[in-house]
Formats: sequence, C-alpha cells, structure tokens
Amino acid sequence: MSTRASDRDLVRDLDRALAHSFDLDCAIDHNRASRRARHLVNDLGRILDRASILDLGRAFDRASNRAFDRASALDRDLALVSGMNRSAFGRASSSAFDLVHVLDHASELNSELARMLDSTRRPAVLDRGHLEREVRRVAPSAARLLAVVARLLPASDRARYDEEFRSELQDLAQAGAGRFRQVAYALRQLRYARLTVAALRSPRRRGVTP
Amino acid sequence: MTGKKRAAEKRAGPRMTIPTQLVLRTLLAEPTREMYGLQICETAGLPSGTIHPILARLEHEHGWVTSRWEGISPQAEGRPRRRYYQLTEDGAERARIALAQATTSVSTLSLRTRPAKGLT
Repeated sequence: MSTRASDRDLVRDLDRALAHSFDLDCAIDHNRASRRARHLVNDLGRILDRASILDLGRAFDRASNRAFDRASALDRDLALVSGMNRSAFGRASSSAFDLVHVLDHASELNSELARMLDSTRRPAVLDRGHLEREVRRVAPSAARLLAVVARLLPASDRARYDEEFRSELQDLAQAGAGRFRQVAYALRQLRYARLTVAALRSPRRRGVTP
Repeated sequence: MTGKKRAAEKRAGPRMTIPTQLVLRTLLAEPTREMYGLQICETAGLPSGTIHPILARLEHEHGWVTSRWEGISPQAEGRPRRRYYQLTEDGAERARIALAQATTSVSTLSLRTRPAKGLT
C-alpha cells in the first residue's frame, strides 16, 4: 500500500516537474534543438559528400560520433521541453524528422561499409562473438529517448507504451539493428507521438485490456 | 470536429490511408495470428516506429483490434513483454469491407506486404 502511495507521490512530483518545464519552455529550447539538428544535417551532408570509398570508414566514424552527440543533445532538449506548445512541438518534431532521415542514410552507409569490410577483412579484424554481443546491445540513447516519448503520452497509457517501446527496441537490437537504427526508431516514435496521443484521447468504444 | 461528424466517422471506420491499409492487410493475412508491433511493421513494409498511432486508433477508437501482453515473466526472460495485436471478429469483417471500398488502394501504388525477416 505504502509503495503505491509513494508511486503516486512520485508520479505527482513528476507531473509537477513536467508542468514546471512548460513554464520554462518559452526561454528554452526548441530553437536550440532545431538549430542543432539542422547543423547536424549540414555537417553530415558535407562529410558524406567529401568521403571517398577509401576513407568512407573514417568519415563515417566521425559523422556517426557527431550524429550520436547531436541525437543525445536533441534528446536532452526534448526532455526539457516536453510540456511545450503545439507549434514548438511541431518544429522540434520536424527537426527530429530531418535527423531520422540523416540517420537512416548513415545507417545505409554503415551497412554498405560493413558488407565491404566483411568481404575483405573479416578473418583478420572481426571476431564473431564480439560482433554478436555488439549488435544485441540496446542503445542507451535510444532507450532514453523512448522514455521521453512515453512521458508525452497520457498518464493512463504511459506504462503500457513504455514497456511496449522497450520490448520493440530490444527486438530491434536482437534483429541486429545498430545504434543508429535504434535511435532512428526512437525518433520516429517521437515524431508520431502526437498522433498516438490523439488516438489514445479519442472516445473509447470498447473496453481495452490494460 | 462536431460530435455528429465524429460519430459518423466512427461508424464509417478509420481513414483508409495507405499505411492503415497495409496494417489491415497484414493483420487480415492471418486473422487468427497475433503479431507484435515490430513484426507488423516488417511484414507491412512500413518503417519501424510508425504504426502505433494506427494501432491505437484501430484499438481505442474503432475497436477493430484487440491486444494483450505476452505471457512471460520479464525478470525470468531478461526482456520486456511484447504487446500482441489481433483483429477482432467484427474488426476483421469491417476491415475487409473497408479495404474493398478504399478509393486509393495499396495495389494501385504497387506496394506489397512482405514476410517479416529476422524477427521471431
């Protein structure tokens, strides 16, 4: 009983904190998130345009690290402005959409590169067990972003979708998706969160198993 | 939107966008089979992470789809439970009719569903 009460307190505190973040969102930060996402798109475009086949690996590595940093920054910004108004949400969502495209493109390049390396260097460089461990890891940045997405949903459905998103992320990782595909998945969930919220808030016709 | 319009829309079923049609076709391919979200995405040929609004609408607003948690213990399995989706009997019937009446059909856009790869 006391655990439930403390859970309720925790949820109430969390809701208060989210409400407070709404007050702060005028001063922060959808502009910063949008600017960073745009810079990321431009940076990645320039880097990938310049990269030849021979130094694609190195360029991709730099680009991917930068993409990861920007995705994490976007994650933090969106966590701060989770109570933002609709137009701000739209702009952040659009930036996130751009980022998804870049990450999808990066992911395709990554796959291509992996195929090239696989055919040329596999015996010397790649260890099968190590690879399997790598691909089965859930990316923490994607998991954090999904937690943010779940917080955007109505309180009554939050726990359900939180678990559902986590299970899908786990399945993606198990199917061999790397960090970028996982972050892209999380960003898509963020992009579609508004539609999910609208569907969940519509009048219900039937009882739904929780 | 007015209450009358909303009620009429509910009676008519969901808006049959292309992704909605792909999801319904996937679920209708084997109406008795339960599928989880990522599996539906893969089979329907949609990007992962795009179908939750569709499933939420079909389940909460129209009652065409029902869902349940996978019957495992997350602690024992070391992973979160999957959420399985399935068309209701009534939903399957309505989905067939709605797909047949859809003005922009998936087939005209040369989109096809595909078997899920890499997911069990």
